[in-house]
Amino acid sequence: MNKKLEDYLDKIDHYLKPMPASERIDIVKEIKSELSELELQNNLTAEEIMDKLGNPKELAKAYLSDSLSKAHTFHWRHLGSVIAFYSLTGISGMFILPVISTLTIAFLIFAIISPIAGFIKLAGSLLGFDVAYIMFQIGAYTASPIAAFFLSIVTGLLFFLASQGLWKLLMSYIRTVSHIKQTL
Amino acid sequence: MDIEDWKSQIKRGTLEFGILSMIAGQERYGYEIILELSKWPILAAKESTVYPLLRRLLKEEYLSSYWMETTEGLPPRKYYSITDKGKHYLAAMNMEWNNLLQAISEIREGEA
Repeated sequence: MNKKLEDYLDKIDHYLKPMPASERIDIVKEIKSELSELELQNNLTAEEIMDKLGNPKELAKAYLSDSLSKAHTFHWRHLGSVIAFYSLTGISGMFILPVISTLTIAFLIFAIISPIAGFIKLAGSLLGFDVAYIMFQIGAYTASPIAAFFLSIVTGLLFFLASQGLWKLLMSYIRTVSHIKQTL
Repeated sequence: MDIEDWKSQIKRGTLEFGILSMIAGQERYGYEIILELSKWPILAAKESTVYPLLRRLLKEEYLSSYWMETTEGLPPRKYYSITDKGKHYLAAMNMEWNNLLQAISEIREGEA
């Protein structure tokens, strides 16, 4: 294949960087297939071929933003919905995303620390000394070391489930937002 | 809005329908589709439109694809075929298209 066309393909590959590697490889492979066909069957020159397919950056952008690139004509309504979308996601993005993701991580950490703490308390009591700063307490009720250990496993599990639930919430939020963005 | 804007709106609305109908009739690869579409100026579209559209239809599972070796010493080609989900989608589009034609036809008759 003509060196110019190889360079053309390299440029497209470069501009497709935001995409996962497997998709990038497939896209370039498909374009390369057409380039070869135009070169070998239609006998077009490299310049004619690059002219036909257009600027490699524009071609890559067309892949990256398939739905947004369809809006070639300007509509006030479209502008309105784009502004609404980015305002909503901007505000929610400033609060919802950071809060949920922080909580998810925090809950996961609690889920790990809780049974560890319970184990330390139990191990301490079995070895004969009281680990005073670790306790399982709800209101006036303080659990014995053995009860505390089992309860700590329960709370650890609850925190773990909560973190998984929050994670799913975060993912479905992101998916919904992306889906809405695609329909703009 | 002038006639060129309107034409590109029409194209944007119907290209997906045209391409799915084409592929439903016969499995095709990208460049073949572009060539076929170029027969009709109102539907003619460039690589930067057709390939991303095919990719989207693939992601939405209306199409499936496979690479096929060619015999003429050319590199392999990515062929597209329509899925069951795609066939249902196409059937729905066909129905809406007929509704549209019916509506326009009645409106125009009313004008006569």
